[in-house]
Amino acid sequence: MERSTDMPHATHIRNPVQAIAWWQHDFRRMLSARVRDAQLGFRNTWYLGALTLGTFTIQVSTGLLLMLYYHPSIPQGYADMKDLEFVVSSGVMLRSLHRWSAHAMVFLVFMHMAKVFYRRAYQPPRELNWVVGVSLLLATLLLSYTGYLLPWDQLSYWGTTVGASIISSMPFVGARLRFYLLGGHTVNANALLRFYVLHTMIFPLVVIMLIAVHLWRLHKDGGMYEPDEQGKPILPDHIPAEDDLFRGVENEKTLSYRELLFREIIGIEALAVVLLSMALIWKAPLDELANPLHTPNPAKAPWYFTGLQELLHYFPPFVAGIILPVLIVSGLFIIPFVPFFDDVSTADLCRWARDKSGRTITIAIVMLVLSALLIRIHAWDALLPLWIVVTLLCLAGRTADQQKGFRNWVRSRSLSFWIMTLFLMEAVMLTSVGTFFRGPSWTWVWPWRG
Amino acid sequence: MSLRNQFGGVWRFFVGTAPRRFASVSVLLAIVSAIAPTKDFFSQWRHYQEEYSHFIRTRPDAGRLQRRFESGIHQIWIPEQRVVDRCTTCHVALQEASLSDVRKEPFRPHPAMPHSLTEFGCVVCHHGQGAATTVQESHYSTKAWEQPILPVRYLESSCGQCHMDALEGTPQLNLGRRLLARYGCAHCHAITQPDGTLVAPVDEPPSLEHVAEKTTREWIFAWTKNPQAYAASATMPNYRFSDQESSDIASFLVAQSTSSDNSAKELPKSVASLPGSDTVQEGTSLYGTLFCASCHAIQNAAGNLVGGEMAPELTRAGNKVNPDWLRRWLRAPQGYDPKTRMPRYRLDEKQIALLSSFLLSKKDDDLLANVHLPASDAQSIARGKKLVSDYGCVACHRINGVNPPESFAPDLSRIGSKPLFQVGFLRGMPETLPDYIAGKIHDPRAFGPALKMPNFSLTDGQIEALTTALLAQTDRAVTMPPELVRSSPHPKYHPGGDAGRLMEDLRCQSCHAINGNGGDMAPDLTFEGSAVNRAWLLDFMKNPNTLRPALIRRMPKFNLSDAEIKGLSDYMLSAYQASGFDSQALDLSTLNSDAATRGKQLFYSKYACQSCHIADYKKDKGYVGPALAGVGDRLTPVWMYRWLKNPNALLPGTPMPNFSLSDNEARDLTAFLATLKEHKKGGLK
Repeated sequence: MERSTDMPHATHIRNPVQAIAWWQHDFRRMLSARVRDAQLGFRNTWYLGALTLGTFTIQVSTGLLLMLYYHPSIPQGYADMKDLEFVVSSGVMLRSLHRWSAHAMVFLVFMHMAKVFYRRAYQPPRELNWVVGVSLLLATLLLSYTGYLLPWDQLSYWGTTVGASIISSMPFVGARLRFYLLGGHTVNANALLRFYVLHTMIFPLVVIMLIAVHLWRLHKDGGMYEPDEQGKPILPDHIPAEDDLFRGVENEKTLSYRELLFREIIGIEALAVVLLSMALIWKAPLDELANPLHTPNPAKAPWYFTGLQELLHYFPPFVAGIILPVLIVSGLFIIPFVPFFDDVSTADLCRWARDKSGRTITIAIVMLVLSALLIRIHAWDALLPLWIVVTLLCLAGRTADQQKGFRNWVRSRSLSFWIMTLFLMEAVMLTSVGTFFRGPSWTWVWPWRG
Repeated sequence: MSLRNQFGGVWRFFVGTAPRRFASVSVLLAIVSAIAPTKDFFSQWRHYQEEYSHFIRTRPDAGRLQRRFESGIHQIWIPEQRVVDRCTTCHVALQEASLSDVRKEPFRPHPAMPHSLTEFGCVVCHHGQGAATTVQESHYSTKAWEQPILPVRYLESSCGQCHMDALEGTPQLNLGRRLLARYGCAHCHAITQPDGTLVAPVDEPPSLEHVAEKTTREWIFAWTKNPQAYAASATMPNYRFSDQESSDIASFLVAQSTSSDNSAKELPKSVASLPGSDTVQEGTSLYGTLFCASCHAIQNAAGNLVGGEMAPELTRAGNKVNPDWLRRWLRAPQGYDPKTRMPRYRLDEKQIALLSSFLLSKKDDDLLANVHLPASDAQSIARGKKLVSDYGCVACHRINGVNPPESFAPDLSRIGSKPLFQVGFLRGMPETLPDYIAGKIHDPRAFGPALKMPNFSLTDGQIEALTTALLAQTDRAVTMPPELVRSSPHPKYHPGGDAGRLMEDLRCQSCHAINGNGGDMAPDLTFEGSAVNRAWLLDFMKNPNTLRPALIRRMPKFNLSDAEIKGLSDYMLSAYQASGFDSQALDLSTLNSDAATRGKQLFYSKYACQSCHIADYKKDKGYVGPALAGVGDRLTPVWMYRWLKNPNALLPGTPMPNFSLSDNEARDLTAFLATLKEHKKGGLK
């Protein structure tokens, strides 16, 4: 394609008129110029990507304000929390908003991933963006984890200590990795400084860059995902060239800025109202000043790591600290690149056993073996999701070919669907058990008996 | 139906179209964003400050108060003490003396105090969360701040964080510290004080290395079962041993006992060998004339203890001691226990016999009537040894074959900052540190059956005082910069030479303090050489009588030889001198009869000294201070003069007021007092 010369490139801006032209031309390319009406509906995406971006915006703005009051030193960091609470105007609200918005961001990132996955929006040509998205998920977790230490109270100190010991449970590299992360063998002043730099500088930059790539790819891959009748993605007519944005598609698309951005801003504002109300009602938790001599029992990691902590309770550190996390993360990364997962449906899975009873027995045997393994290590809470998934598979196995209905829907699910469902269910299960049902020495307690 | 339509209309009005949705959500966002600043505006501290500014308008000095009042958050910042106190944000009138009649919090001014508010802040003394600006967070224990405001009844503990010496304003703390030393808490617990020294116990439990010479297995059994049954004033607490345990301990203690130096010595004659006389009558009066009651107490018929508490109670001594041991002891206490505080009286054979017969008659036939112990065997002795080492008996007593335990009980140096998570509270007790400490002292075993600490049966007042003293042992106290610690260190002092040996033998420092070392029962002798006249001192040593006839405690008569008295007096007169007591301070030639006459006038009229003192036994009735008849014999004029000028400088804490006498008045009074002489019959020349 030819480059037209009447539009100035960002590097060629010489005067305000050109700057305005650049804004019109380049910056607005963060979103596709136009979207199809069908893509605008709330049901398609629940605006999860935009809402996540909204929480990130809140995080950056509240974070900058908090940085005006915070010293990454001991015990001044904790004293700053007290000053925020007792002296700074709206200081409690500021800190609470930052805290709840961080939780919301982690939650929304997971939701966004699940929504994208179940809509199969990761399929080519969007596989690269899926990888960027998974990287953003990891960056969000790290951002949240590094921020958790900064108040330097008992909660944050021990949450970080537990997190760091999860890292060090990796064989060979774990102890060294923890040493580099903490700048020492224990969580101390060096760790606080490193976490501060990572939290306020490095990870935000990483996230901002990844978001830019994420949005740019989104636009390059044809805007928001929209499947056709067969469930295959509608590809853009062509990959638009630099200056081709407004040509050729005028008739079939709605302008993004007029409709899409507008709706997303309404969504983000509504989310801000919810988060602000939460921050007004619930104060961000603050415990006593960190005391390295007093380990609270139980010492819990931040909620998004309690699932991992629960795993560590069941499996040896080698399994829970490295095999499972590496399997999960690499599984998430490679899903779009291995068509096998998508192409094998439940029906295919069951095909190799000749008759219904054979299939049922086979699935039942697999279920029994896995259950026995989990029972052997007393992982009762991991059993439930497994049984649900296996029961659904059994259901599919026993069903004759039909054209409609729930059973047919189950049969037509792909292998990747089941893997992701099992992963998400286990994650929800383990995380909620770790967060709500674990008491001193990681024993089972009912939350209402606390 | 119309209602539904109306609601539908409202719904459409607000969110019917995208722009309306946008407008509605934006307005909502603006409202929610404004809530937090609004909450700030209606904060608690603003409310109190407004109330205060209304309140001071009603005061007569409203203008001045208003000028001094500044709204906004106030704080006292002391970086080196890590103190940020915002208490003055609500307690706005702490320094307004003119509001002293106000009782309403938080507007009460602070009572008069020796420290400046801005230099010391609030939480150093009162605890609580100084940085907080809400009532709940600053005063009470919260999730983010454990230490609540210190209850007022323990407030003196805060003074003890810096001040090591007894202060006039902290009677409870002083008592608590005395009790810590007196009840031997520091035998088991290490307690490092802010000046870096350990609390030193003063109870001096007896050595048990030769205990079999002194008493019987039966008595040890009865004593360990319940020390207070033998002597109501016993220091040793009740360990609640079972019969079996007490019997085993008694077996072991008797088995480990060796013979003392005394046992080899000749046995003094017993009362049986005395020519028939009323021995009980004579023994009783000898006990009185020797002033044994200065240190020892005996229960009288009414059940009251009569006598001092420095030495063991003797109410049932006859049940305890072996007669042979007692006679040897009365002759030479140090031969049995080299560390005893008991002086070596120069008693003759007859006195020893009388005194021992008197003491052996002090018994209660019921005490050991039902004690029948099986013969001691090796197993019982072994069990006894285990009990003795398990219960830490050796922390207090010396016992052969058992080494003193190291860190037998928890270190209490930082007990006042003990984190509550380390504390196991009893069910139903208030979960605060003072309540825990008091509860633990009140009944230690209630906190767990395996705990070894015994019950000291202290009164509530004593427990409160002890709790106060222990609460002073905070982290802040331990980490206090040395320049903030107020203590007067006392280097160890032992008098030297022949006189020093004699003073050791007489155990002078059991009662008298010299250079900060010694007891507080009798006058401090540090400057005695400057204070008294030689003739009087010689006379007094020969025949000590009391300066305050109302007291039972007085200096005993040691039966010293003339040579001993001379040597001792000369030593004291030359060694125990203060500076500035020469003719520079007072020209003795001015003490003439005119001055004495003027002094007498001052004594009886202007200063009415006779209301407390007796100058003439025939006329005066003052019993508050010491009698001054004969004071001219006793005290040097220079000492009297200096004393009259400033009593507190010579004896800190004396009740004698400082009358701010002029030099002339003091000189005239001294001249008068110097004329007050008694004409002694005997005495040394």
